[in-house]
Amino acid sequence: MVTMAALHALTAELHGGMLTLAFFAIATVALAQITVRLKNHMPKRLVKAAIQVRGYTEATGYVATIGGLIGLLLSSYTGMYAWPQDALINDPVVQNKILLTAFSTALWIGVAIIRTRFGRGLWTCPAMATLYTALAIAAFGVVGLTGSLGAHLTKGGSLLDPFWDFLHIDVAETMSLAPVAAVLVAMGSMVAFVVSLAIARRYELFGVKLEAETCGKYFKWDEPRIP
Amino acid sequence: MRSKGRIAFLTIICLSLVTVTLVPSLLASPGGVTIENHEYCGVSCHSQPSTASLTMWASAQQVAPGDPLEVIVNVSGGQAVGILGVMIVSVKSPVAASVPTANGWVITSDPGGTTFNYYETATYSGSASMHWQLNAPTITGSYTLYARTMHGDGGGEGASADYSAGVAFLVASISTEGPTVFVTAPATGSTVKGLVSVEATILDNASITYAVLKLDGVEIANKTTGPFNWSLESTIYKDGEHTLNVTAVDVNGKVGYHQITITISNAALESGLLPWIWTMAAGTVAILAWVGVLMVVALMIRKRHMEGGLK
Repeated sequence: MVTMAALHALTAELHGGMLTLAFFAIATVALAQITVRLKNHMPKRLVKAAIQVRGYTEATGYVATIGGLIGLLLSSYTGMYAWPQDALINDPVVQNKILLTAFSTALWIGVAIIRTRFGRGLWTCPAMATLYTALAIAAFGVVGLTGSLGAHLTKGGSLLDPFWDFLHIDVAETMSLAPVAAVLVAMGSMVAFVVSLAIARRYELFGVKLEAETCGKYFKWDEPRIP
Repeated sequence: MRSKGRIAFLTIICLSLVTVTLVPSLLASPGGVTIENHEYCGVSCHSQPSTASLTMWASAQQVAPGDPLEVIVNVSGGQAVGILGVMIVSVKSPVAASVPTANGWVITSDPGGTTFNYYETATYSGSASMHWQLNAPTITGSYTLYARTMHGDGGGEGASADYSAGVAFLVASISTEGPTVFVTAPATGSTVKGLVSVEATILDNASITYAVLKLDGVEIANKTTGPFNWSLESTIYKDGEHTLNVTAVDVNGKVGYHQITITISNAALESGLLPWIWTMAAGTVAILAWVGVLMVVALMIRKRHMEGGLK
C-alpha cells in the first residue's frame, strides 16, 4: 500500500518541478521581451531566437503554473495526513512551512489569475508584464523558502540558513503576528482592494483587453514562425 | 551598431566559458590536499550520492571532561579513486558550529599530523582508515560526532556520503562516591508541553538498584533497569516553573541525583496557535488583495501611456 508520506513526497516533487519550470519559463519570456525591445542593439540572430523561444516558453509557463498549483494543493492535502497531528499543531517549523505554503499558493494563484484574465497579451503591457514576472519571482522565492523548512525537518538544516540568519529569523519559532495586527493587515488590504475596484469601475478598466495593437509601441508581440 | 552588439555578445559568451572553466579549478584544493578546518560540506557540498561506505567508532564513548580519545573513520569504495576528503563534524549542517572545536572538542592530531577536522588525501585507492586524536570537551554533557566523505564522481560533480548515525559521547566524571546522574532531556530551563520525554544517563562503578523520577519532589515513576527514560504527561500539571529530579541508588546504597528546572506551558503554546492561524489567513487575504490592487495599478499605468495622461 502506498503511504501518505510517499504520496506527499511525490506531490512535493511534482509541484516543486512544475513551479520551477513555470518560474524559468516566465523569466525566459521576460528576458526574451527585453531582447526584442532592445532589438536595435542586439544581434539579429539573438532577436530571432528570442522570438522563437518566447513563443514556446510563454505557454509552457502558464501550463506549468496551473500544473504546479494543482500539485501544490495535492501536496498540502497529503502533507496534512503524512505528518503526525501533534507535529502539525505543535512543531513551529511545520507551522512555518504551512504558513509559507499558504503564501506561495496565494502568490501562484495571482500569477495564474493574471495570465488567465489577460492571456499572452499581458506581455504587450510593460506594467502588467513586470507585475506578472515579479509575482512569479516572489512566488518561486517563497517556494524555495518552504523547501528550506522541509530540509530543516528532514535533515536538521538547509543551505538557505545564511538567508534566515541574515533576516534574523529563527525558523524554530512560529512566524506570527498578534491577532489584532493580522486583522488590521487583512482589513487594510481589503480596503485597498475595494478602492482599486472602485477606481477600475470609474475608469472602465474591467473590460480592457491587452493586445499587441493597444500597447504595440512598447512591446510588439511577434508571433513565432515555427519551422 | 550591429557589429558592436555582436562584439558585446561574443565577449559575454567568452567570459562565461572562461568562468565555467576556471571556477571549479580555483575551488579545487591545490595539490589535492587541504589542511584546514571545514564546516560540514566544506567548499562544495558534493551533492551526488557516493557509493563509498563509511564506518566510524571511538576508543571511548563515556569520558571524563578533557580526556583524550581516538575517533576512527574507515572509508571503502566510492565512484572515483585519487582525491578523497573526510571530515568529522558536530552537526550535519553547513554552519560554524559543525566544526567540533566550536563545541569544545580539541583536535590534537588529524590523519595528516596537524589539528584540523578535515583531511584530504590524493592517493586514495579504494579504502582508507583515518584517525583523529581529540580531547573531550571540558563541559559535561552529551555530544555526538559525525563523519562525511567527499570525492569526485568521475564526472563534473562531486559525490559525498555521511556516517549519519554518528557516535554519541557522554562527557562526565565517574564518581566513586555513588551514581552520577545526568538528565539529558529535556534541557534545563526549557519550556515543555504535552507528553514530555525525560531521559537520564546514570554512571556508576557499581550496579544501579533503582532510579526515581520526581516532579517538584513528588515521585512520578521509577525503574530498576536502564534505559532510564520516562514519558511525562505535562498537561496534568499547572503551567509554570517546576523542578524535575532523577535520583539513582546503587547496590552499595549510595545515592546520586540531577535536578533541573523546566517550565510547563501548555496553555501558552495552545494559545500560540491562534496568532499563527490569524497570520496565515490575513497574509493569504492580503496577498490576493494586493495582487488585485497591483493589477488595477498596472492597467492605470497602461491607460496613462495610451492616452497621454489621466482624464
